[in-house]
Amino acid sequence: MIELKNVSKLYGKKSSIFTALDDVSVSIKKGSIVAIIGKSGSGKSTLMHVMSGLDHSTSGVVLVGGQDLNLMKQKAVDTFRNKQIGFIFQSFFVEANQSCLDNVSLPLEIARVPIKKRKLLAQEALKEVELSDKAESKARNLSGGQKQRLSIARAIVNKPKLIFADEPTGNLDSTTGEKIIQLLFGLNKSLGATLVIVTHDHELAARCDAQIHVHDGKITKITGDSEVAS
Amino acid sequence: MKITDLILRSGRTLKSAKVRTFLTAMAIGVGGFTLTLTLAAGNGVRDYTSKLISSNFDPAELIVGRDKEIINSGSPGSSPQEFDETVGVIKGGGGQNSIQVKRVTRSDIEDLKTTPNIEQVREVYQIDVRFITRDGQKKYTGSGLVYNAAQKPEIKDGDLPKTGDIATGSIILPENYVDLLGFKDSNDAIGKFVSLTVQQPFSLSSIQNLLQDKNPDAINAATAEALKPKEQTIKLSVSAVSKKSATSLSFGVPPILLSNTDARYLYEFTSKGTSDFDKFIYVYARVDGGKDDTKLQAARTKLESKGYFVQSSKDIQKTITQFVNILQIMVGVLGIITLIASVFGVINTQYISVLERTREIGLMKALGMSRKNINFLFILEAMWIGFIGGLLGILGGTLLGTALNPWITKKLDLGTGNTLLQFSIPQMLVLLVALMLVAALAGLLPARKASKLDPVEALRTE
Repeated sequence: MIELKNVSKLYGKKSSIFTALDDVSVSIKKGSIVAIIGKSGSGKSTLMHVMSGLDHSTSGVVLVGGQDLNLMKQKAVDTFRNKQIGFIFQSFFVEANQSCLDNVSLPLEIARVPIKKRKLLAQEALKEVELSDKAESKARNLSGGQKQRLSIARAIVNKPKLIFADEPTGNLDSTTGEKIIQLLFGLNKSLGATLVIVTHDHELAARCDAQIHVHDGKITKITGDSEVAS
Repeated sequence: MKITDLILRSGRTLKSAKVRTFLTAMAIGVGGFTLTLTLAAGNGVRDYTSKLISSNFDPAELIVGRDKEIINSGSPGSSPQEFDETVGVIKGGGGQNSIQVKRVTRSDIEDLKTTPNIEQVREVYQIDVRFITRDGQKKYTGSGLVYNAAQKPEIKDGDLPKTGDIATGSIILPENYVDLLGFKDSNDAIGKFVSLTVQQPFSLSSIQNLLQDKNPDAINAATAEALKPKEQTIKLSVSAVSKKSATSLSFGVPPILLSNTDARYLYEFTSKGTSDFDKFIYVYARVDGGKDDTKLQAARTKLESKGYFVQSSKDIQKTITQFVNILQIMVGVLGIITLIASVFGVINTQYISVLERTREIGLMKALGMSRKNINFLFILEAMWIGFIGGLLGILGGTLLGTALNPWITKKLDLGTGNTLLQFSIPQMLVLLVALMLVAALAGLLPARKASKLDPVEALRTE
C-alpha cells in the first residue's frame, strides 16, 4: 500500500537547515494496522504527512497505492487525498458551528458529490460511529469522545483505502480513548482500509500489527509482523 | 467543490459570526445608502428638468436671437458693443445695471419666415399691464404674455382649444387673481369679463400733429396732451383659469395669457413710437418636422450661417443637466469615499477571519480542497458581506427616501406628482452588484493568504 524509498525531508534554508526525515525507507502492507511510534519532535508526524501527501518530501520516492506522490501535480495530490485518504487528528478539527451532518459531508462536498447522495453517505458514516441521532445537532454540543467519533465518520465517509490517525486518543480519557481505538480497529476490519496510527503510546502501538519506531528523523527499528511492515 | 456549495458554505460561515458580519456589512451599507439616495435624487432632478423643459419649450422650436451673450447664457454685456439701432435695454432688478442687447428686428423676422424649413416665427409679446380689474373690484398689477399652443398651461377650470390659439377676446387667468378679483372660485370666473389697462408712454401721432400746427397755444395744448400718458382699457372674457405650475420657468405671479391678436395689439399700443417697437430680444422659429433632431440641427446651422444666435430646448436642458450632474458627482464622491473606508473594514475582517480559521482552512486543504477553491471561498465570503451591506444600504435608502418624498416635495414646492427621489430597480441592482464586486476586491488579499496557508503548519496543534 505504502512504499517509501530513501525519503528525506529538510526544513529551512542553508544556514539553519533541519532534517526532519533522514533517508527513510519503509513499506506497509494493504489492509494492515501500523503504528508510527516516537517521541514528540522525532519526525513521526512528518513521516505521516509525507505518506499522506500533505507534505512533499525533499528527496526520495513516495509510492502510495502504486502512485508516486512526488511526481503528481498539486491538484492531483489534493484529489488523491480527497478520494483515497481519511484523516483523524488529535484535536478533532470538527467545525463547531456546523451540524454533524455538514461536518461529515465536507469531503464529499469537496469531491462534488450531489447533495442527496452526500446526505445518504454522511448518514451511513454517522451510523457506523453510532452518532445517527446527533446528525442535526451542532458539533459544539458534543463531548470529546463524540467529537472524535464525528471526525472518524468524516474520515470514512469517502470510503478511503487508507486512514491516518494522528494521536487519536491524545485528548481523551482512557475509557473514551479505548472506545475510539476499538472503533478504529473494527473499521479496519469492516472497511478493509489500511490504518496508520501515529502515537507515542507504547501500549496502543503494541496492539497494532506492526510498529515503526522513529527517532531523530530516522527509523530505528520495525517491530511486529514483518509481512506487514518492513 | 461546486460553486453552489461554495456559496452556501461561505454564507454559513458568516452566519456563525453574525455581529461581526453585520458590522462590517454596515460600513458598505452606509456607502450603498448614500449612493442609492444620490442616484435617486439625480433621477428625480433629471426627470423634473425634462418636465420643466417640455412644459416651457416646444422641442421643434429654436430660440433665435441677435445677441450672442443672451443666447449663450453667458454673462450678458460683459464688454461694450458697437451701437446700432437694434440695441435695446433689459432692466436688471434690484438696482443692478441694465444690460444692452442687440435685438431681432422686423426685417429679421421677415428673413426668418422666408428661410426654408422654418414653418412659423413666433414673436413673444410681453405686455406691461398697468392694472387688471373688473366691475366693483380693486385694481391689481400684472403682466401679459401671448398664448403658445405648444406649451399649454395646467388648467384648473375651463377649457383650452385642442389646437391653435385661444379665441380673440379671451384670456387665461392665473388662479392667483381668482380671489382678488372677487370670484367665488375658479369655476365662477369662467366666461366673466375682466378689463386690462395698458399705457402708451407718449403718442407719436400727437407729436406729428404738434409739429404741423404753428399756433403757439395749440402747440402748448398739444404738448400737454402729448406728454400725458395715453391709456387704453380692453375687456376680455376669462376662458380658463391656470394653475400655479411647479414646472414654470417664470418667477412671481404668472402672466395673463392672451390670444395672438390681442397680445399683438396691446404690445404695439404700448411700444409704438418707442425704440422698442417691433424689436425682440428673441423670437421662436418653429422648424418643419423639428421634433426630428437632424432636421432641427440642419435648420439651426442654416440660421447660424446667417448670423443669428440660436438655442434649442435641448441646449437649455443640457445646461441644467450639467449642473445637476456636477452636484450628483460631488455627493457621489462622498459615497465612494465611504465605500473606500469600508473596503479596509472588509480587508481587516477577512484577515482576522483567516487567522481565526487557520485550522479550518488546514483541514479543508487536508481533505483535498484545492487552493483555487479556498481562494474562491473567501472571496465569496467577502461578496456576501457586500451583498448584505448593499441590500441593507439600498433598502434603507429606498425606505427612507420613499418616506421622505412627500415632505421633500412639499418643502421644495415641486408640485403634486413630482418627486425628488426616484428609485430605479435596474439601477439599484447594478449598484448592488457593484458593491459586491467592491467587497470581492477587498477580499482578494485575505483570500490569497488563506489559499497559501500550508496545511501542515495550519494543522499543527502544539
